[in-house]
Amino acid sequence: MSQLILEPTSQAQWQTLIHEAQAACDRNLDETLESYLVFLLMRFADRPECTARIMAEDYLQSQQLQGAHREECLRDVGDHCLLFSGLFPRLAERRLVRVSYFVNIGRSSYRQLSDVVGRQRAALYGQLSEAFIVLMDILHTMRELGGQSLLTPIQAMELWQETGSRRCLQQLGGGRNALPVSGSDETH
Amino acid sequence: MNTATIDARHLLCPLPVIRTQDAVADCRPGDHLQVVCTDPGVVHDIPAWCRVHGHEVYAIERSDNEIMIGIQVGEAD
Repeated sequence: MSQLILEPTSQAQWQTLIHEAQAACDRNLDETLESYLVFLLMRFADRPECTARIMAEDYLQSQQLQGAHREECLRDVGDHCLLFSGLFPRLAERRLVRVSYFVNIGRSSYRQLSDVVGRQRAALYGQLSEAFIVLMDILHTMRELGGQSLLTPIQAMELWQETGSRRCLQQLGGGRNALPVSGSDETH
Repeated sequence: MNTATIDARHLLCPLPVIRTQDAVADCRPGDHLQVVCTDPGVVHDIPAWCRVHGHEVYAIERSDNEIMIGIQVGEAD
C-alpha cells in the first residue's frame, strides 16, 4: 500500500483497495464478484468476533435446515470461509487445520447455494464457488499491500498444491521464474 | 446397482460429508457408496446427513484407524 486511501464512503474505500489488490496480483474480477466482495468486507469490517465461529458446526447445521434458513446459513458459511481463507489464513494454523479446509467448505457452501436458489442468484453463487481461489488471492494481496507475507512458505506451498493458488505460487517463486518441485523420492 | 468407494482418509469433518455429498450427486437411487474415513466424527456426521437427505447407512465398520461407512443412496431430495 503505497499511499493513504481517502475516499468519501467506506464502500468507495473498500472498492479502491480491491482495485489496488487486483492490479497488484494481476487478477480481474467482473463487476458482480467485485461488488459482492466490497459488500462482504463492509458487512464484516466491524464484526471481528466472526473469527470465533466454528465452520464445521455451522456447515453441518446448514444441512439440517430447509428453505430460507438453509440458504442464509450456507451463505454465512461461504462468506466466513472466504474471509478466513483470504484475510485470516493464520487462523487455520491455530485451529490445527489447513487453509484449504476453509476453501473446501466455502466452495461447497456456495455450490450448494447455487443448487437451491433461483436462477439469477444461482449464477452468482456458482461464480463465487468457481472463483473462490481468485477471490482468496485478491484478499491475500490486499493484506500484503503493507509489505508483509501473510503465509509462511510452507503454508503457501500447501495452499498452492491443494488449490492451485496463483498468489501462493508467486510467493514461493519470490518474483523469479522458479517453480517449486514436489516429491521427496526424487534424486537430484 | 453400482458401488463406489470414496477415499476421505485424513480429512477432518465436515470435509468427508462434503465428499459424500458430491459423490451422491453422481449416483442413482439404490447405488451403494463406501466412504473410508479416519476422523471419528464421521460416525455421527455422515449418518446425520444421510438421515436428513433420505439415504440409508447400512454399515459402519471400524478397522485399525479407519472407519468405513456404507450408504445406500435414496431418492433425490
